[in-house]
Amino acid sequence: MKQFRNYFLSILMLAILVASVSSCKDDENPVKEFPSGVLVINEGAFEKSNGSITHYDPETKEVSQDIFGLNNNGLALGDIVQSLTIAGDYAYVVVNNDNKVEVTTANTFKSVHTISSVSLPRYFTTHNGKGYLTEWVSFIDPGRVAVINLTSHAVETTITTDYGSENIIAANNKLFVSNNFSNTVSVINPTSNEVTETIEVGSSPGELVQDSEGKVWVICGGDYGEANASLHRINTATNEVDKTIELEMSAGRMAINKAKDQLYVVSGKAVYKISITDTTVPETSFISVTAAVGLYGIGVDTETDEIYLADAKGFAANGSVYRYNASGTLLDEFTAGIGPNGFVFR
Amino acid sequence: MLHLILFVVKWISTFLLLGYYAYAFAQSDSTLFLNEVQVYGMPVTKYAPGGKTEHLRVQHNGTLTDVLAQQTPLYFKIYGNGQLATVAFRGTSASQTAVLWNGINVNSPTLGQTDFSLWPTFLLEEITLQYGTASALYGTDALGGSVLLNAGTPAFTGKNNFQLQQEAGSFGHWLTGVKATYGTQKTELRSKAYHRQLKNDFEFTSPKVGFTKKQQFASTESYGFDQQVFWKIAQAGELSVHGQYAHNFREVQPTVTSNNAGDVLQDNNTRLAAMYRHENLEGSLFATVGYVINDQLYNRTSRTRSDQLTALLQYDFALGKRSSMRTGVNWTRYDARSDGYGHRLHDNRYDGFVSFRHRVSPVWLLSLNARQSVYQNSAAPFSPSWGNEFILKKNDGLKLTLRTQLGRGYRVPTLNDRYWVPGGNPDLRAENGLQAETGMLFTKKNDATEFSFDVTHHRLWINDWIAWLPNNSGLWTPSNLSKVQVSGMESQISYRINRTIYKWHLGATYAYTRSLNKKGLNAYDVATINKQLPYVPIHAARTFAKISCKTWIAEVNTEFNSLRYTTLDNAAHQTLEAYALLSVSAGKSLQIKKTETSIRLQINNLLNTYYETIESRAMPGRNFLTTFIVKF
Repeated sequence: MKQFRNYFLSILMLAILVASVSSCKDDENPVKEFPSGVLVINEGAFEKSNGSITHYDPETKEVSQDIFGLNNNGLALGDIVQSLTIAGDYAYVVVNNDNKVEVTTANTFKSVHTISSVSLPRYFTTHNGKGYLTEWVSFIDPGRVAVINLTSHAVETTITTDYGSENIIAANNKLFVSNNFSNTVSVINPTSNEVTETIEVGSSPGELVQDSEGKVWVICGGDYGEANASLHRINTATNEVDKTIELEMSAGRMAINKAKDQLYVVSGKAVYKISITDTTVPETSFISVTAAVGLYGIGVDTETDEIYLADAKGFAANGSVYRYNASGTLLDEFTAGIGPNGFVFR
Repeated sequence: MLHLILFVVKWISTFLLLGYYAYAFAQSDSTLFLNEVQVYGMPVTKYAPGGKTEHLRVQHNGTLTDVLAQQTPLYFKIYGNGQLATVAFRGTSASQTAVLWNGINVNSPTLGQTDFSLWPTFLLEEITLQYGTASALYGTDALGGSVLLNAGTPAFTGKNNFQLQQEAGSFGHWLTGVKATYGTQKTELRSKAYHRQLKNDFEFTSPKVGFTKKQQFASTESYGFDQQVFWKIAQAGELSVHGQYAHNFREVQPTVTSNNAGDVLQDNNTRLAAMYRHENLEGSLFATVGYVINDQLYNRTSRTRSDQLTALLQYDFALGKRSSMRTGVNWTRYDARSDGYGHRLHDNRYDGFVSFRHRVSPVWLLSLNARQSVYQNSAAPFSPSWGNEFILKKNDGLKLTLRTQLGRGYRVPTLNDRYWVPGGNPDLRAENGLQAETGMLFTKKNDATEFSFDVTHHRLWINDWIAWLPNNSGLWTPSNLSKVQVSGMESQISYRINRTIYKWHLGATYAYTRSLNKKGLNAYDVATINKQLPYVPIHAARTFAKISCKTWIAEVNTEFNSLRYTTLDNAAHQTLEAYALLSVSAGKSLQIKKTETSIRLQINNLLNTYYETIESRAMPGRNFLTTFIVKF
């Protein structure tokens, strides 16, 4: 009996020890908040489910890798984290090859909801209290835009566009959608949820920005390996292309400065600065990142006007981010995750 | 309809075997488990003294991946149970291992590598492993090592043998196979046919997902047959014809985070070889003509097909009493079609090679080999090798042998590397490597026990390692980018006890591999220099214990691989954890007159360990497999 009691006591002691150690562990891992700073979208390598979000604090230069995993017990965002949009209290993380949008809290990136009734989703934006998500759907069907209820996160309806529905921007109370497998931009009336017009641009339209005059610019990557990218400016009132700049190079990524009068276009390891009043591309590049393997994303901090460039390192190693000031001087460099493709500034 | 028939056949054969087994169990006692066969024709390793070679036991179940992963420290990137499996041999890439079927390099000419999951052990007879660089002997791709698949030597007994095998296992594992050997004193025919399917609906708990999930969309189905005919022609000649066809259909297992069906892949591999051997007093002439078709259909629409015609002629002759020499030529013509090529591709390769073996003294055996290969308009690096074997001690069943080998190897760029549209780079040079190794083998034998210990140290420097990266305009293109330095050691220990009633065989293998990247992704990249290559475990170990007692046999196997990096910069938060697997099996066999039956129950991954060999592809936990075999 005594033996039994000793045995019981030691088990009890052990249980208390385990409980205290495990509660210690909980205390050591408080949820980290990321209310400000720069978020790097790392899409991850194809079919490796290693997409992530890196947080960078430009003041302290502190870098936190995989902040979703950090605050969600090591869970993965998934396969090809294409984009991230923060709207209100939520962050919408679009995971392309897992056919889902992970909805998280905006500051702590705690998982809240998963929108899974979508096919090959790409980009997300909000307008007038609704969410709009582009979907490729497949490689043989036309793409579409899903209209998402921002409270229930349910898909309310879908709007079929052209093939490869890609980037989306709200301008002049309309939605403009670039159709990447095609050569068009679809114009959507968000009241009727209908495509009202299809504007012809160059081959493989991608990123969209709105300039200081309210016009929408679209960059068209051109044909793969053909060096025939182009820029098209759309008058949002008439839905007409009123200017085209042939880039005569391969390009696909673009951003606009704080004043919204200068476009930054990425080609290979170089960035070209094009004024919205220009009609041609400058001969020389604005920034040349000689240390890069291949630039894959660009972003401009809407407050500091600083330029962030992402080097995906051919997906063989973790990518690097180069931070430049508005005059093109390198300020800092840091390591991100696999395949960094874009930025969100808070 | 076909499925229904197969299903019915499967069940009928299972019941027949069960019934037969129950009957046989009541009748008999003695056993015979595995009989080793000698390599057909000339010993494949005759000119390889100095290097490390190993004859592997052909297991009854699974694929070539299972044989190699369980019996050797080779690391496999396995994309799921029954899914794509590629090798990292001594820290090299998947395309730096030569795979030869009856002397013909059967690595895919388009991708340059072998999917080991497409080789069911059921069709295999002899598996020999040559560790290290041996391009002088086996040509292109033989940098990390070579896997030699050969037909067993025909016995010409005139006896007929028949074997029926039925497997049933977890996650919808079914295999039905038949083998037959028949013939006369002058001809021998061997036929094999099998059908295998895996549903693969296993459960897994990946940390990336956080809850237990059932694997979906990962089923596979394969079938194939193999026919061999051997003819003795007079006293001096022998002709053989080998034909093999394997069909494999699989749903490509999605990553752990995916809830959707992925791609589907269909592989049809046809391999044909006619071999002739003629012997006279001076030497032996070997001639082989082979035709290999790799036909892959991706998502039912996109087809990649390569046709390969190979002719191999070699003459092996004695030079006095202590030396022999072999010279030969090899011509291979590839014809390939793919959506990725603008047009049909043709590629011709010509190899000339010479080998020399000389017993300098009773204790010193020397080998010298050299090969020159020419492809399209380029010459591959000239590849010589020099091996030595010294018997340091030999008496009363005790033997100590020292080996040294120095060799150069190469890998011809694949058709994709050179001609893929867009991006293919026709100006690529062949990869080349220089290797040095030294090893020692100690064996001690007596009537009932056999002990052996082998230790090898190796170093390999690879230059012009081909890698695909985006160029200045963002276009992905391959270049002779990297340099890699491998150094490592392997050791093996084995102990056998043979008593009249029971037999023990215990063993362990350990490999230490440092495979370091020596050149950055560009001139500014230092983050990847001197880092371990992804998916090369630094430590790998295997152990086995086998005991057979009368008609019973039991086996315990363990497999350990240390942490693996998944990126070239070795980021600590992106590694795959070290894992150890335990599997056990027990079997019973019995002999009634001329009929031998056996039944075996196997439990794989007994501890239900979750592990990945490639990032985010789940591997099954604990699973069971039952195998019935009837031979008569």
